[in-house]
Amino acid sequence: MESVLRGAAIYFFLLIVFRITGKRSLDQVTTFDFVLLLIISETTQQALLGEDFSLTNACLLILTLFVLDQCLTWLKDKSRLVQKLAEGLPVILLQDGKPLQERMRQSQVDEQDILAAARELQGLERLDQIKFAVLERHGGITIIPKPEER
Amino acid sequence: MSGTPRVGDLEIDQDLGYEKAAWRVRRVGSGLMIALVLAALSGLFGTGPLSHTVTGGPSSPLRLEYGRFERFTSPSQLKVHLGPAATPGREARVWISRQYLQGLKLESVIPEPREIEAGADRLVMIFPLAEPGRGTSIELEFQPQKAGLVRGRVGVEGGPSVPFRQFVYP
Repeated sequence: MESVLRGAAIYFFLLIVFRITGKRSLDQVTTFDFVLLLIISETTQQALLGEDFSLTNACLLILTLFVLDQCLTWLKDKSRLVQKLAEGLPVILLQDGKPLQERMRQSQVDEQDILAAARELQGLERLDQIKFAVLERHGGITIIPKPEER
Repeated sequence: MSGTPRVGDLEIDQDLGYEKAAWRVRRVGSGLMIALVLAALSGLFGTGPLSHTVTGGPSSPLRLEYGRFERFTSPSQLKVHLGPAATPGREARVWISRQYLQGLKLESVIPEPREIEAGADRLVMIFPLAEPGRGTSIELEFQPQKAGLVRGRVGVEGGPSVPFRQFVYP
């Protein structure tokens, strides 16, 4: 019983923390983010296992985390609200070459991020070449270029 | 011409029959996983209502409280409740089968026994009693050191004894 409860507590805690800290925390992982992730997993491990180092406990915890994740995926398919709560929705950050400042500030994305994505994905040079820049649910920025003028 | 089969114009190595079988396995597997987690919640794999058990009725002189299912090296407890009938004198003499003690690492006994006497097949722990005739409880904290079925017996010298079984998961 305890293993399942511990697993569930950690799962939901991490889910909430990662949602609150914003979309971009999982995408565009810097080296520091990566180290942070390692520290988080190390810290979590202690709380998850407690003093029980049995094989049974480890298996049960893994099962619990997977089952919860699967249940969440299933719920996300069923309910738009759960989907929004757990993952959020895509946001348009730039339209017809014009950055939407308020949205960009709130999403912690700046013009440089958009330009970088535009260069990387589409080989574009300037903001005015972009029709739409969208912050996707998975945390990445996607770019739709303006049709080329003749 | 490559050897990859075609679907329309698309060269794709697709095997829908296999995929459908895999989906079925995944569905059954998910159900099984959910069942296992529910079983764990109920205590089938240690700690929980299915595991926790108390022998005898509230009026019996010797009652044991323990987990039917324990886990290898995980901190566990065995409580021995002595009724008034089992504690008539100034001390309680409780014995535990050696065979049981061999399979675990005893961390602590609360209260600590004043003396431990070694018998052939048992250890006798002697506890001084503050209030003779009013019963008491003794708590053993231990870590199982052997996986599998474990049998034990706890008794009061010159009085009743209770056998019990535990299953220790690896």
